[in-house]
Amino acid sequence: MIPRETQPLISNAELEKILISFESEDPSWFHQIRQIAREELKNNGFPDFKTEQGSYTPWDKVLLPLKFSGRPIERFSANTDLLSSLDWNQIESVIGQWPYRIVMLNGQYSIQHSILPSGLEIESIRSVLKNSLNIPIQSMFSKLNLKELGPVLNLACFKDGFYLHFKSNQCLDYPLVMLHIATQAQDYFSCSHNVIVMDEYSSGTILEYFISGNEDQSSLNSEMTQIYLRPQSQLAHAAAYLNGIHKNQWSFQTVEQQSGSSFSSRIFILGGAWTRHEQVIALKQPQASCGLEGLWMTQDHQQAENYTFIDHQAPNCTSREKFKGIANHDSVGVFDGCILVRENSMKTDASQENKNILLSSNAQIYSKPQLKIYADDVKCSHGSATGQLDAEALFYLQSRGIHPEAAQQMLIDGFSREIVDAIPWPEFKTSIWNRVNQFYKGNSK
Amino acid sequence: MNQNREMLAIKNLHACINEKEILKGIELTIRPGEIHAIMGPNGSGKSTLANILAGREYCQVTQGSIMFENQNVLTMAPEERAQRGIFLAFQYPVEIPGVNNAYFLKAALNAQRQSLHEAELDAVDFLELAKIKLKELHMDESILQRSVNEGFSGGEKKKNEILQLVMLNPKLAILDETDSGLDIDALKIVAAGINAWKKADRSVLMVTHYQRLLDYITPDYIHVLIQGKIVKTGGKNLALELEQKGYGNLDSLQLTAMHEQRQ
Repeated sequence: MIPRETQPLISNAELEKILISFESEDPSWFHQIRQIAREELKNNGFPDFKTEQGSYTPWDKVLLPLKFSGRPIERFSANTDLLSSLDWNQIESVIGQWPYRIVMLNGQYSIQHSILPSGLEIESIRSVLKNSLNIPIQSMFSKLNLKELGPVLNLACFKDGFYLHFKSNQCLDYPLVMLHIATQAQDYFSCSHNVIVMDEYSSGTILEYFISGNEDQSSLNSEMTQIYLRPQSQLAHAAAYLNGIHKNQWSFQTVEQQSGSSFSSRIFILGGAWTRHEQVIALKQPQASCGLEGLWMTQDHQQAENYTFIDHQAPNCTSREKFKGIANHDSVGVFDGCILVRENSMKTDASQENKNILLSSNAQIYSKPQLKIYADDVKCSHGSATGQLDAEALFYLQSRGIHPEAAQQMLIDGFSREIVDAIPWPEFKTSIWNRVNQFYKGNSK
Repeated sequence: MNQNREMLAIKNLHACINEKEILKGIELTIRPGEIHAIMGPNGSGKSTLANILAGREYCQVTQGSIMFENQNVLTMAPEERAQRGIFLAFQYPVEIPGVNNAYFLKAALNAQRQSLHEAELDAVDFLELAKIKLKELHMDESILQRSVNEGFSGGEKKKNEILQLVMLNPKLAILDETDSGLDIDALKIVAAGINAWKKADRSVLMVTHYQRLLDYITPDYIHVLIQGKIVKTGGKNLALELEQKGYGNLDSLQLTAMHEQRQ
């Protein structure tokens, strides 16, 4: 164990203050879960030096906004000036126009900005928790693993979020866009918790955009989403992190898959000061499949982290993983991907691929692929490679009259294309391409 | 036609790779419209010379000069050389995954046009031009939509080099063993493409091992490069002579020459 720093990043007194500021009226069953998370937080403190998963993260910067969590953020939903000041034309120029959207403002579900498809059950998570008749939701929360800082912090603090329920055979005609907008003139910490349940044979697409300005104040948003895929259901999920340069984002996603269900995920980290996306996927019944892809780009002092844990708990399940990253200047990228194949998970078919490019000698990339296989008769492969741009290719392009900066951008586009071109939604693909094309423009050091 | 004007003038060129001297005083002058061939045994420095002209960094010039249209080539970045009209057809064209061939060609063409203060070609005009050139080279249009050289056969790669040549229309084309890896049919197409492109004021410098390419592209001069020096220059018949007698004969010639120099 690494010894705790003598001066904790957040003192016990500060932690108490934080927790009090996030006090909310919980139903008694949930109060107990909340208390467990809070005790865990008090006992283990910040940051979680105990786990290896925390070792790359600049906790002092990331957690700083927590100290400001005493400031009320509720006033946002009441502050009509701020709501009306949102420039929807500008937002739509970034994300494109979509028929359905759920808007989260500073971590809070904003009903007046949301446009919901008819027939889809969506509620504030707060009201769902209070509905004691909803037994499944109780077991969903009580089964959460409260050992890691991400979910612990989220459960200790979240006040709101949404509950989304696809009924049996329900198929959404257009993607449901989730727009997370961070807009605040001062430092803050926000926290939200969502639950998505997809019943048998339902299918849908959820596209998340995280956007914020480049204002000078730092913020931390913790978002945790629990996803339950019942037999034969299908969920396609994508997230584009396009945050401003002072925003810290910590997303934690748990997915439980039943037989024949399929889950696809595309994670694009193309902004923010620090962005961490964690995925824990449990393939609990046979014939379930998941496909995770990701692309991240960093520069200056940005940091992007992807953690994936795929748990093959049943036979005949398939998982695919492909993550690519590019780091420039003094930035840092992390890929930590674990595939666990449990003893009875015969005929598992799993593959993992991670490729990274360093554009500067100061940039750092940590790639940690892990395969833990306890079953016979499985097919598992993994590959990880990190290097520089191909000098031969750069020279080839230059020898055709192409300027070195343009040549570098062509190679970056070429490297990213595999992930971006596979995006099935044209508007989403366009917004990602625009971001990828512009990312290092006018920023060569 | 100004036949006396020098397009390329190489004087006393010495160059090293990893501190090993590869070129030991090359003298070569190419005037507009001329076709030169450089032949020589393996390791004599032929490809090094071609790569130095294109601006490859691993070759370090220690002495001498290279002038292209009275401008010092050695101080120019590779892209500037290309924009001014020097084109190297690579011996081993580089595969670039994810970069669309048409996009690459258009970017190269427009970089050149920009440097000449000409208006950039839009997608429609570019495609029109590309289709004409593809037809001339008996190439399938589908090659435009593939990634640059990725998964191309040896012949396709070489043809793709010539496609770039005819699209970019340089003043000096340097062909680094363009004939290697080509079957006879492909060689004929490639040679026909080069011949069709070559106008009166365009020049060619071919680097080759064999007489084969010279059957289709007739050189005005043949230079024999051995151990980093041009030991013999002759007309097109020199190649036939070499084919019969090999380079061994010239090796001893050069040794004698060096011996005499020392004395």
